[in-house]
Parts: sequence; structure tokens; C-alpha cells
Amino acid sequence: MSINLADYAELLEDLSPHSQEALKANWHEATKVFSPRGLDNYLKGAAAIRGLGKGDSLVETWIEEAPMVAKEVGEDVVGDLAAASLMLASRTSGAVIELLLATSATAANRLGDAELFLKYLQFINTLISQAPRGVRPMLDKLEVLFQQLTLGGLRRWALWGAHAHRTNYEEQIRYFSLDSKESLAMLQKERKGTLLVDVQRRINMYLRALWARDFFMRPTSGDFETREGYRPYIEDYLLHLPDAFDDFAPEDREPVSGLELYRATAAHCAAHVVETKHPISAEALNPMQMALISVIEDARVEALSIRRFPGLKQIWCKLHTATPDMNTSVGGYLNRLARALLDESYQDNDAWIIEARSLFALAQDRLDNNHTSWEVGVQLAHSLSQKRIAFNPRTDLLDAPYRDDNRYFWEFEEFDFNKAANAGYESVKQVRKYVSAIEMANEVDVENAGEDAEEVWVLDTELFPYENIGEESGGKSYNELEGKEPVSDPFHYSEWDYQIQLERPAWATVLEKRAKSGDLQIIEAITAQYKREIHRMKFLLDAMQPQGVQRIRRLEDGDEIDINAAIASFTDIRLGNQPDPRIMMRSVRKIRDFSILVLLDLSESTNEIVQDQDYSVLDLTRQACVLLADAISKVGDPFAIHGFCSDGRHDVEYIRFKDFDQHWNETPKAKLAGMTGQRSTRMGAAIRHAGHHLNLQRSSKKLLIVITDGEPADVDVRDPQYLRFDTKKAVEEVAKNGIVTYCMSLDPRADQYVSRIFGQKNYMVVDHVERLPEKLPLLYAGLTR
Amino acid sequence: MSTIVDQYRISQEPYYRSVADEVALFEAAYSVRMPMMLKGPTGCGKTRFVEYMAYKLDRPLITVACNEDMTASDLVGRFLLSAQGTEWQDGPLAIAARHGAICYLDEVVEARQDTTVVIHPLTDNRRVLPLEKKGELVHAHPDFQIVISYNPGYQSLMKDLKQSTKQRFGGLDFTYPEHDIETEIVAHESGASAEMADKLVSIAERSRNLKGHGLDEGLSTRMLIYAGSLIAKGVNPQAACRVALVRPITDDPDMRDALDAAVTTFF
Repeated sequence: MSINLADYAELLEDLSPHSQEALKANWHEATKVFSPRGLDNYLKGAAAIRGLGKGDSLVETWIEEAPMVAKEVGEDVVGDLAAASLMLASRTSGAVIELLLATSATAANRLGDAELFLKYLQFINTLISQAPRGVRPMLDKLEVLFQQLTLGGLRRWALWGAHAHRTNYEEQIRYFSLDSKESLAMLQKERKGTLLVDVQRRINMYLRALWARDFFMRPTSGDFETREGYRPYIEDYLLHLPDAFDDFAPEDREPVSGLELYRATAAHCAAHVVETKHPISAEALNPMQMALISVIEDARVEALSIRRFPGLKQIWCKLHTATPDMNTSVGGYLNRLARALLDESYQDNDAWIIEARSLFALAQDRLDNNHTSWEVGVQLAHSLSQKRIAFNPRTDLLDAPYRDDNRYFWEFEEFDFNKAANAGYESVKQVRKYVSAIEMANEVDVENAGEDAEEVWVLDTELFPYENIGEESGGKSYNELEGKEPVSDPFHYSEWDYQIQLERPAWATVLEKRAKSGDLQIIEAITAQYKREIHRMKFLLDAMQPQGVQRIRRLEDGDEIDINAAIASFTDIRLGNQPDPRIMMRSVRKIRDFSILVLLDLSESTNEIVQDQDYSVLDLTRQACVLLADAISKVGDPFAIHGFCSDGRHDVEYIRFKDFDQHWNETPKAKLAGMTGQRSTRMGAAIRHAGHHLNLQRSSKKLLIVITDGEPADVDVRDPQYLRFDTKKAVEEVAKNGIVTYCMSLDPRADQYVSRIFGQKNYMVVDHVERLPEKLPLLYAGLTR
Repeated sequence: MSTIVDQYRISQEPYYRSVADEVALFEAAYSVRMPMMLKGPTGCGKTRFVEYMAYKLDRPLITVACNEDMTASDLVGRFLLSAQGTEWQDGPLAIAARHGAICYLDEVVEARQDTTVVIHPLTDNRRVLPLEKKGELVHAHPDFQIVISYNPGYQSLMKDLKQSTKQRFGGLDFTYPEHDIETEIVAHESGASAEMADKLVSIAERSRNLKGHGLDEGLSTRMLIYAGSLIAKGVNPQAACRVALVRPITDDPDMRDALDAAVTTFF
């Protein structure tokens, strides 16, 4: 389903010709990142911004930047970005809005989360009312600022400046362009510590090492007004951790690094997830009782974890700072209690703390049930209330920065695997039934059934309309009259959902379709065009051809005696010379045992014309395939060329241009000539299917070369990360069957995600797309040597 | 002639802590001279087990570490030059077959498939070894037995034994021992205290959780023994773990950091 710009003509007629040109130029990029609804928002946004009457360049900035933002944090924010721009229009100049749009991709990249991005827009909105002259210089420096600040830090830095120079516009500008001393001083103060995105992989491995399972983490933004980060919390089975942690350095104690703090936090949250198996009912509890139960519950899960991993205690102890002189508020007592229960070396002679310690010690062998926390908590709440200190739920909080807010077990929901499976995982497989002509004729066709129908009936023989054989239908069968291209039986593959860390069974459906034949002339023209390259490669390929049996001579310990060398040695011995001991030889069989499958991305974007050239990416891919096929068939390895495109998870089309057992002759060449590009790129399912074909091969070494011009994407997936993670999983799955996957990416910005998907060594980014045809056979030679 | 195999005799009892019924099973297999195959991850005690069984059965043990370049002659033997002309020299397999030793082919999948087939006639009821080049047929000594080992884990499917080879052997599966047993082994072999050994084993279990999630293999019992020996020599436990456990097993900085952190949860 290709989306044409022309379909949106009525939305675009207001745009100036120059903007329309810009839109055309960006259209391919946009169709890659937006779903149809997102495209609609995108174009409506363009029209609305045009409606502001602030000039073409503003509209064009929108046209260029909005897809980039969507690529970073998902398309849902694009509507909000447009709304924010419209809202600002009455309060600031077009140039500032333009700058906001131009830097929005940077901001989206740095923030990496849709929710944070929305908060960023809110912040800009606030700042414009408080420091109208400051926004522009700040946006100019945004990249620098985001390198050093989190969103919370940026907000504090900016609002400080806005307040300090409320009326002095000169100073305001100097502050926001980082020219004044206090500006730099504030920046230094707000400088972020350790970022979650930087250490997330380490923390993940750490948790996995400890508990032998995966936990999924997400960043949350720090609180704006105070320097306190949000409390970490657990919700929907995800650990929500602050996006950055400063080093924790209480006075006269050893500082704890941000990474260490992350570890402590993640370990505490994970301890909750592992050890809190049942919710605690908040019914009939007052806030103070709840606060105490929370502290006891924290102590309970920590005690259980420390039993398994004693070292966790040191990490956690370092983060408690309560002292016996904190006796004026309930919060002080709560913190002392938390510390006392964790750390025996902590001295506290308060009667209540002693009581709590002994109660908790008595409960040591009942710790596996959180009812214990309830009992101990309620009892302690009672004795604490004797102290007659008022409890303020808002201020009497725990100080230890690693503790989460415990919403997890108060509003606890068991992760029910069956429920999750039922919620979105219907694994209805399409049934294909082979029936007789009578059954077929008697059954009523479902008119509106599509490709994802539950049941498809197939008849072995051709069916003719019986009432008018030989009349107006001209003796044609139903198939000839209205039939569609036959497709293979569906193959179902599971997909990996990184959000819930589970597989969605039988989620994607792969249908193999027949390749249409094209004009053989095209292939011959390619061979003629690349005559020189082919000739150049000849020597390289000759060297790779299997040599059969080779004799390796002059060995000290071979299989047989090399009679010539032996005679020479004997001559030496008789002559009294030092004989050469290397008189053996060995026969070595040189064989190649490779199967190669080339998997082509045939999505819509391959129709894009290569910059400054008159051919498309698809043409180049075809040329590269022809050259590669020539090369491989010369060497003699079995190889196949397959392609894929997708239109949602129910319809991943898979086309086999050349199979392993097919000769490289007219038939596959014609099919390759008829190759077309359409739809999207659901790469994971295609890789799994290619793996299925490679598994049927008997070679000991199997190589899958994926040629793609973009990242995995599909019309029914809005989270840009989802298919990336799934593809990574697919690559790992086929690797288990001994298949090495190598990716050749034609997307010059691909380095980051491609290396994450395919691994550090298994990818190559072709910067000059036009050189792909020469590079591919060289890659093959390099990989299989 | 018996002197040639006497050097392969094991004079002192090697320490081996039996985990299940593997000792009895191996003895039974030996009594009918069934060729045996030991499977399991690296460093879990396969080689030690064979040594122990050879001692227990009082047979010489000839070990061959297999590699990709090994050919049939490396196992069977070859002609060498001498002052008089050529002279046949038996390979390790031929020596074992002639003199009734246990021949142990370590990491047998590493050898090329055309090499592994030379053991076929020795592993069925024929029990013979044809020395083609010499024109001799060696009938195996009644005490001769062949044992192979391999690690099914890291080879994936790229390297595997042929079915025709596999089906000539009885198989014993080896894994890392249970926590308490492994603790006992580490404590005994390294000289570290039982408490220390217990921590080391717990660390190893953490790393085994990461197998397939960034690590190819978890920490082996052998590595724990190295770490334990360092600790017994007075090295700081964390440093010993760093040197003997974490640094050898991974080059990935993130993984190294995660493992170091896992170590500190015990020390």
C-alpha cells in the first residue's frame, strides 16, 4: 500500500511551491517513519504552521524536522510539537519557533522518551513567558546544554537565569548564551551525574547475574524544582529509575558514585519484584501505619536479598544517613528505623528503635511472607504514636535515595502470564483447507475476507463457472477471471516484545509469493556495464575456488614420507652433512562448505533515487545481486537470493528469486529483473524465514547477508524500538542454528542501530551507495575466505 | 615392551568427588569395554574423572588433545627415517590398543571428521586398528578402552560429531556440580576455607545466569579453584576474583563491570 503525496492535495494547496518542493524531497523519509495517521498529522501540522503566516522557511523546517523527531521518540509527539509551535506563535517571533523546530530532533535524541519530550515542550512554553529574550540564545546552545544537563537540570538552570535577570534583557541574553560567569557556575552546579542510558546495559547484566532473569528499566525525569530526583518506582513490571543520578556525597562520609547508586536502586527494586509475591491490603490502615509497613517491607525484602547476596548490604548501608539526633519528626524516626533494620553496626539507644529491632529479629524466620511486615508495621505504628509527634505524609519521607516509593505492593498486580497472553496474543493461525470441487461449489464465499482470513479453501483443480462454459467467459476458469497470484502456505513466526520481555507466539505471518519475471535484457545490460569489475574480480575468485587435494611438502610430521626429500636427506647423511629433518608430506583436501543466502529489503524506500544519479536504490541492489551471483556461481558455493517486504504483521511477503538448488541461468535472472520495491520492512520475521531456508541446507557454514536501506519498520508498529529489538532477537535465534548474519546497510546514518542489531563486527555501512555493486562480491569473498 | 605404557600409569589417586552414579556406570561400561563419551562444559571435571577412573581401574591413560590440524597419522602412527632406512612409530591410539591402555581423546569435535573415523573399527565389536601404511592389523588388547570428551555448548551446530561416530559410544553428561558439592570440591582443591569456597561458587552461579546473555560460558569449577588458590595464598579475595574469574572470561567492558559488581555482592 503505497502512500502518495497526491492523495493529500487539498491539505497542501496552501503551501508555496517552494515548500511543496521541500515536502516532495522529504516524502520518502516521512513515509518510512510515519503511519498513515501520523502522516495525516504531519501534513496537517504543515498546513497549520503555514496558516501562521510566518514565512516559508518555518514551514520547511517543520517538514524537515518532524520526521526526525518521530524517528527518535515515536510519532505520537508530532501533534504536540505542532500544537506547541502554534501556541508560541502569539508570543514570540517566527525565528524562535523555527529554532525550536530545528533543535527539536536534538532534544528528542537526547531525551529519548516521548513523555520527557512533551515535558520539554511544556518547559519551553513556560520559559517564553518568563524570559522571552533568553529562549533564542538557549536554543542555539541546546546541544551543548543537553550534553551536560538532564531535562530537570536544564529547567532549573534556565529558571534561575530567568529569575535573576527578570528585567535586565542584556544580562538575560548573556546568561542564556552561556557568556556570563554565573551562567557557567549554575551550569556546573546542575551538571548531571551518571546517566541511566549510559549505564543501563551494565545494570541489566548485573540484575541478570544476580537473579537469573531480566528486568526492564525505563528512565523517568528528575523533579524540576528541587534537586531531588523522582523516587524510583515500579509499575507495570518495569523499574522506573531516575534519568540521572548525581554522586551521593553526604557530609563527612565516603561518596557513592552514580553508577553504584544505580546498582543499589536497581537491586532494591528487583528485590521487591522478586520477593514481594502478594499485595498488601491498604484497607483500614492509616497513613502512619502504611508508612511503617513500607519501611518494614523494604527491610524484609532487603534482608531476604542479603541472605543470598551478602555484599548488597554494604552497598545499601552506605546510602543511609540517619542519626540518633533526628528525633523531632516522624520522618526522622522512619529513617532511623530503616537504617537500624539494615545496619546492625548503627548505634541507636532509642527505646522505640530497640523495640523495632527486636520485633524484626523475632520475625526472622517468617520473612518469606509479607504479612509479617503488616503485623510488625502496625505494632510499631502504635508504639510510635505514643511519642505524640504529628505525622505528615508529605514531608515525613525516607531519605535514602535508592528506595522506591513502594507503590508497587500497595497497588500490586500479579503478572499473570496467561492474562498477558490472552490480552494481546491471539495466535489465530490461518488454516488452509484442501477441498473437493463439490465442497467448494456448495460453500458460500465470505466477500469481505482479506489476506488474514481465518480459513482459506483451496481446490486442486481449476474450477470453471458452470452455467456459461464456453460462452462469454471464453472457457476461462475462475482463477483466470478473477484469481489472485497464489501464495504459499503461511509460515508463522513469533516476535519478541522487548517491553514485556516475552515472545509473542505466532505473531507475524510470512507468505511466500512468486516472483514476477522481468526483461532479461536488464541483467545482460548490467553484466555489460560492469565488465571491468567482473574481470578484476576474476583473479580473486579463482584463488577461492576449491583446489581439491593439495600436497603440503617439507613437514617434520606429515602423513607420508616425501620420497624426494627423504633421498636428499640420506644423501646428506652419507655425505656427513646435517640432513634436513623435514622429509614428510601431507595431503590436505581443500573444500569449501558454505551456503549463502542474500536477503534483500524490497520496501518502498528502495525506489528512492540515489542522490545526484538517475537510478534507484533498487536498481543498485539488483546490480549488486547480479555481480554477486556471478561471483558465487564461479566459485561454486550453493546460494540463494530472496527478498522481502511487509504490510503489517499478517502479511510479510517473501519472494524467492533464486533457490539453492537452482542454476544461475535465465529463470532466476529474469525474476531478478522483475524485482520491485513496495511496502515496509519487517525484518525479524524475514530473517527467521531465511533462517528456515538455510537450516534445510547441509553445509557446515551458513551465511545470511541482509541488504537493507533503512531500519526495521512496519505500518502497524509505532514504537521505533520494537522491531529493532525483535530483529536483534531474530539474529540471535538464527545464530543458534549456526547461521552467521551479516548486514550491509545503505543508510549512511545506520552505524548505531545496525551495530546494536547485528553485533559489533557483523555489519558494514556503505557510504557511497553507488559503489554497492562492487562492494558486495568483495564482502562475500572476505567473509568466506 | 610394557615400559612404554608404564609411563602413562597414574601412581597417585587423583581427587575426584563423585556427583551421582557416574563412577559405577563407568565401571560397568569398562567391564564390557564399551567406548564412552563425556559431555559437558569446559572445566567441569571431565578430564579429572577419566584420570580418576584410570587410577581406579589400574589402567594406563593416554590422553590426546585434539585440534583442527590433527590427522589420522597423528593418532595411528607414521614412518620415520632412521639410519637404516625407515622405521614405523606407533601413534598414541596404536600404543593404547596394543598395550591395553585407556585412550582419551579430549575435545574430539575439534578434530576433523576424516580423522575421527579412524577410531570406528576400534569402537565396535571388531576392536581392531588397521595400520594401512604398515600393512598391519592391530587387534586391540583386551583391556583397551576408548573415551572421548566434548563440550556441546560453544561449538553450536557448526561443529558436531557425525551420527555414525556418536552412536558408537555410551554417553555421560557432566555439568557443574550442585552448590554444596562444588563448594566441597573448590575448598579441597584450592585450600581455601569452606566459607570462601561457598562464596566463590555463588559468584560462579551468578555468571552462569548470564550464559547466553553476553557470556558464552559461565565460570567453570576450574576457574574457581584457581581463584580459591590465590585467596588461600593470601591474595585479597576481590583481587583474586578479578584476576582469576572476571578478567579471563570476558572482554566486554559492560559485562566486566557487571561481574565485578556481582563479586562485590559477596565480599
